[in-house]
Amino acid sequence: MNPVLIELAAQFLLLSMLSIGGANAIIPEIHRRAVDVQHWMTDADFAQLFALSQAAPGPNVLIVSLIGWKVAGVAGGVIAMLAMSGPSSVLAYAVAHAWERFRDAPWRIAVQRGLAPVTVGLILSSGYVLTRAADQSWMAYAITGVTIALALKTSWHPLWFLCVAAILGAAGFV
Amino acid sequence: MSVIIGRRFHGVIGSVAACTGLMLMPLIIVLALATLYAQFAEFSSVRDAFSGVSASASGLILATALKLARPLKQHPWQVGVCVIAFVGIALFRVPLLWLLAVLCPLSIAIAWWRRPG
Repeated sequence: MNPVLIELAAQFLLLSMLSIGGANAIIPEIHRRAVDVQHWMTDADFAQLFALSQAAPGPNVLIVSLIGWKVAGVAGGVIAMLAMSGPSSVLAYAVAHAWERFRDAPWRIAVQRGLAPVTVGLILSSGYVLTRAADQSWMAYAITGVTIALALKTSWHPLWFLCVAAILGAAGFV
Repeated sequence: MSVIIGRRFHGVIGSVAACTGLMLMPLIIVLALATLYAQFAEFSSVRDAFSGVSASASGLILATALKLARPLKQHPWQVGVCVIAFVGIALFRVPLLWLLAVLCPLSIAIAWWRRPG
């Protein structure tokens, strides 16, 4: 097998076991590995792939398949996705029953209360890392800022924000 | 999530079916889009459009994080843990494994110690 595919599989198998709090929480780690450690792509490439994953229908974890695709084509995308979802799926399957059974156990409540702020910190970090990678102009920062404000104040569908931003971008404003 | 819901209805088969249904089509679509994107990336307006999208999508993630952060205010120690995670990962780019290995046990211990009742 192609050594790059093996490397991809190894990277995402490891990440899979660290993915508490879902895909949005591990974006900084994916970015650290793909851009800083492995030098698979630039900041700008990462931002473009992230945009593509958000514009496409489906779960957030699809960013993983695009990282794999960028590194090793369609095969890379499929391998990265399998490596990412395999171990955490098996774990979820194994733990789900016990987790349900101990719904009201004090230790389970402590685990949930303990992990919640870590997850929030990680998702905040994702936003920060992505903003740093994506925003190269004051207009881009303005789009990020307006999106935050409107997303907090309104319940508009996220695709509207992305559509308007795409039009502004294509028109050369960003 | 799909693993757990699938299991509730049909065990292993249910889990596998739910995951395939939920993941396979989006995976095909996103890889097709990526291939299409690669064909048109030479047109700068395509890259420019996605630069706009990435700026806005970053904002959406930050908004999600801020919404999730609101209830933490009830427990000041949770705000502290959240800040440590942010500073470690976003500012100092600490490997995630190290951060989780230190911060998760610490945070769960505090939660256990401060449990109600």
